[in-house]
Amino acid sequence: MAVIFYIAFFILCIILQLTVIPLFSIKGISPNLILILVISVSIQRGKFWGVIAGFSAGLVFDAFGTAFVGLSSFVNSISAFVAGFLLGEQLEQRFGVIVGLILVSLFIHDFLQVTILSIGTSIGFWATLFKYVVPQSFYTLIFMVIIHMVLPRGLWAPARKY
Amino acid sequence: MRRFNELFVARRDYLTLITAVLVSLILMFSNEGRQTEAIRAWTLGSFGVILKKVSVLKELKNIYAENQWLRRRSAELMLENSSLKEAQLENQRLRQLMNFKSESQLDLVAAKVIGKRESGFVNSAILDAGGGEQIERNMAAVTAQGLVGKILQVSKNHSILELLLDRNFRVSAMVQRSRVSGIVKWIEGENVVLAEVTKRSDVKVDDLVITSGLSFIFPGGLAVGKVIDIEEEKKGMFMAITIKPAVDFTRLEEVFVIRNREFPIQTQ
Repeated sequence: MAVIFYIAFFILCIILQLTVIPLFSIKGISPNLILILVISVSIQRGKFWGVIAGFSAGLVFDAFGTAFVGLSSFVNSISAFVAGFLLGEQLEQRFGVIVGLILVSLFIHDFLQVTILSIGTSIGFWATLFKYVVPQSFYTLIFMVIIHMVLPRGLWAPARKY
Repeated sequence: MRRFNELFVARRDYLTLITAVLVSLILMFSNEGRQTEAIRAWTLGSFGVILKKVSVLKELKNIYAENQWLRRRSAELMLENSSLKEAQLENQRLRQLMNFKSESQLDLVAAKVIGKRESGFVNSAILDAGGGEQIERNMAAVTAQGLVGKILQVSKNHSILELLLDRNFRVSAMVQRSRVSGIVKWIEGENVVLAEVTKRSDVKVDDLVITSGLSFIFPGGLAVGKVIDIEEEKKGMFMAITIKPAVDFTRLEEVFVIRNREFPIQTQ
């Protein structure tokens, strides 16, 4: 039951990412709704389900881009694992600590993705970091915190039993 | 076997991560493979149906305003059309006089943008037209303002358009006024550059850059954008020419795909 629920949620997220999220784009930087859900799954259900969710969602999402298939699944899987690893035992921590650890997971995702995509371009390391990686991570984090506050159960509450 | 099961259960998180990473890497290095292409086309076709429905809902709120604008535009175009017909007749007469070969008409098909993927380096759009409309890979897409990009992937009813602002996009172009040519490519941000132009070439701010026509994908004369900045590289022999694209990619709603496969070298 939980799997069907999550699959439906991921399909919704992918559709929103391709249709609604571009409206929030600022200078080519837009929040990553799929990554928000992947990290949420990893925190709530553990690294195993987080990696599976990240890999599957990334694979589907890569079909709509111009980058090589497998890139999103690669970075999503690693980011989900890191989120589960850092936050699996930390849910009783203060809000600020949880947000900080989520930012680390987001940063790892964006750093890996942008670094791989910037290979072969003339953009320098620091420009890549401060023009793309950091803004992208913070923008996604802001979105994640807003969604967490809006949703009745939040994004990192203990998983519900189905 | 039992020992293997115990090991798997104990280390399943790590094993799953390793498997996911390995499969991703294999896919990344086999992107031109037929299976990968097939998976991509299938995913595009499956999700395209839902995306099209969502994009229709999104557009409902704009229909009234768009209708008003279209009525006004229709009147303007009618007036413009009559003067253009006059100009066309005059053009034909002059061409006959100068013994020019008539230019081939472009075979255009309209397609609606039903989704976009924007993330700094990757910029693509999903179109609601595909193989069923005889759209193929590497066909150019334009709007009335100018060049938008080229088709990257096609399923039966949908296609993915690689935009001018994508890291992989390249097009041969030239400055309309001085015929100085180079390669247009994205470097970063919302603008593109005209690269491979040697120092002291005749390029000025506000010059229009158009496609050169030296291509099997892009016909000549399509507006790419206007020159907004020129800098001479301190080292090397080239200039860094920044171009603001003619097309506003934030408002991209409909494009025309050029179905022609061969273009004569056009003189503008």
